[in-house]
Amino acid sequence: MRLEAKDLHQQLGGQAILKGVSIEVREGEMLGLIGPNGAGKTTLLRLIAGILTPPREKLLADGQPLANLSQSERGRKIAYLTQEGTAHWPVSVERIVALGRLPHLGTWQKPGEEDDRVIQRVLDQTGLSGLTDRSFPTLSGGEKARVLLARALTVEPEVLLADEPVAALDPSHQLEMMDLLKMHCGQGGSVVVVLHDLRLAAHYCDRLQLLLDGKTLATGDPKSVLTPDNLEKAYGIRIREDKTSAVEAFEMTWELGGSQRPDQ
Amino acid sequence: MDTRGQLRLNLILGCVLAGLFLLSLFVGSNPVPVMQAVVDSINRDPSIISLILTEVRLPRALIALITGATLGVCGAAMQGLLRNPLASPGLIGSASGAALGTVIVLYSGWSAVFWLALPFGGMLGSLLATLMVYLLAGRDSGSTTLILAGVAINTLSLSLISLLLNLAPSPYAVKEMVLWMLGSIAHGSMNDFWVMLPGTLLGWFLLTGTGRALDALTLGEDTATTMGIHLPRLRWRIFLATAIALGSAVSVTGAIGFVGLVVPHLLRPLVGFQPGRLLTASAIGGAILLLAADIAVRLFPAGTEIKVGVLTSLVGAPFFLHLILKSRRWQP
Repeated sequence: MRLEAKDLHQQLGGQAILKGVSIEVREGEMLGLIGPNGAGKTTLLRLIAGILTPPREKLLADGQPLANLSQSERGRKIAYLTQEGTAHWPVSVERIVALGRLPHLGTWQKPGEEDDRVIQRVLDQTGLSGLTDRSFPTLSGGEKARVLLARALTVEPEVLLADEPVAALDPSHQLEMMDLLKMHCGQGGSVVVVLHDLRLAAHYCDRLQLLLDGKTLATGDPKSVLTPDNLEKAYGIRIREDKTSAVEAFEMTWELGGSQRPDQ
Repeated sequence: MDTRGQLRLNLILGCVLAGLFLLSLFVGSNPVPVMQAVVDSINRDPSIISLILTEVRLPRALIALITGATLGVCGAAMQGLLRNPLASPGLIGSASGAALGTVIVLYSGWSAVFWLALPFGGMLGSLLATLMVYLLAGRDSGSTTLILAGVAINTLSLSLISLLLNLAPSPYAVKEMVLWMLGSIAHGSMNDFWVMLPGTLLGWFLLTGTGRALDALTLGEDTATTMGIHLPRLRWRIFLATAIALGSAVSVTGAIGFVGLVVPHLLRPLVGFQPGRLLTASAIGGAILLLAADIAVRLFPAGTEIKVGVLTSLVGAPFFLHLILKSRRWQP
C-alpha cells in the first residue's frame, strides 16, 4: 500500500503543531521520521494512524481516501506502536500478541487456524516463544518492547507506524528492534519509524524525513538529509571537526553479536 | 487461558449459582418443605407453604440473582473501560442517581399513590445522573475526567439526598428513606422482579459484544483506536447499559455496595486478567455473591433484620482491602 498525504495541518490545544506537512510512504520501504522534540513527528503518526482525524481528502491509500475505509479495515492495514506503550492488566505475553488479530475478527468470530498460525510465526520471529505464559509486568523493558512490537506485527499490517520504538532500549535491543522492523519491510510491508538516534536512522532507513517546527525541512535518502547544514538548523548540532564527513559520523560502528540474533 | 478453561470456569460458577439458588428457596425463618410447596403450587393449591415459596422465596431469589449479575457485569465492564481496578459500577452516577430519584419519590409521597413511581423514579434518576456525567466529561475525554465527573455527580446526588432527609416532614419518612437506601431484597415481590427484568436484560444485551473492545483497551486508548475500536461508541454503550441495568436493579433493591467492585477483582486472575472474558464470569459471580449474602442475612436470629446491602458492605470492605494488598504485586 502506498500512503500519501499532502499539506497536513493540525492544531492541538490552540497550538499549531503541523503547518503543512506532506508525507509519502512507498510499498516495502522504511521511512524514518526525525527531528527535534516538538517538531510534530508524533502528531504526524497519530494523524496517519487515525487517532487524530485529518480532513477526509488529505490522506490517501493507493490514491483513495483512507477515510473511505471502516475503522476495522483501517486497523487491518495500518498498525501503530505507541511511544511508551504498556498493558494495563497483567495479561500473558501470548494474549497480548494475540490481540493483534482483533481487527481481523468479527464481534463473535473465534480466532481460527490462520490466526493461530500468524501468532505462532510472529512469536517465533520475535524470539518470544519461550515467554508465552509470562505475565507482562514481569518482563524486562526490552522484552516488553518486543511483545508490543509482536502485537503490531501480528496485525500483518501493510503499514507499521512505530513511535520511538527504541528510545528506552540498550544497544543490542535497539538493533534487535530495528532488525525486526526491517524484516517487516522485507515481507512487503512498509514502516514509518520515529527515531532520535541518527545513526540508527542513517543505517536502517531507506528514506528520511526531517521535521522542524511543524514543517518538513528535508526529505530523501539519509545522505542527502543528514547534511551539516540541516543538522545545524534542526538540532543546533555540528559534526565534529575530526570526523571528515557527516556520513562517517552516522555510521553504525557496532552490530549484534552471534548469540544476540533474534532468530536464534 | 484457553477457551476450554474459560468454559469450565463458567460451568463451575454456574453450578455453584444453581446450588445457591435452590438453597435460597430452602432457607428461611419458617421451614418449608420445598417439594411439597412445588407440588402445591403446580396443583394451584393455595397452601401457606406454596405461598411462601412463590410469593416470598422465589421472587427474593430471582431478584438477588438478577441484581447480583447486573452489579457484577457492570462492575467488570466499568473496570475494563476505565482500566482501573478501583472503578465500581456506581462510579458514573447510576447508583446514586437512582437513589436520589427513589428518595424524591418517597419524599413526595407519590410511591403511596402509584407503586411503579418508585422504580421509575429510580431509573429516571439513574439515567439523568449518568447522562450528566457523560456530558460533563465530554465524549472524547480520558478516564481521569470521567472519574472526576462521576465523583462530582455522586457527591451532588448524595448531598441532595441528605438535604431531603434533612427536610423530611416526619421521622417516619426519614426512616422509610434510610431503610430503602440500606439496600434489601427481603421484601421483593414478583411484581418487583418483573419491573426490573426488562431494564436489566436490555443492559446486559448492550454489554454483550463489548468484550473484544475491552480486551483491546488493555493496550490503551490510542492503540485500541488503531485496532478498529470506536471508543466514543463503546463508552456510550457501556454508560447506557450501566445506567439502564443498574438503575432498574437499584430502584428495586436499594444501594448494595461492593458486589460490583469485589466480584471482578476476585475473578480476574481466574480469566487470565482478560477484561472480555471477565464479563460473563463476573455476571455469574455477582449473582452468586448476592444470593449467598441474602441467604446469610436470613441466618441472623429472627427479629434482627440485617439488610443485605449492609452485610455486603460490611464484609466487602475488609475483603476488598485484603485483595488490594494481596494483588499489589501484579498492579502495573
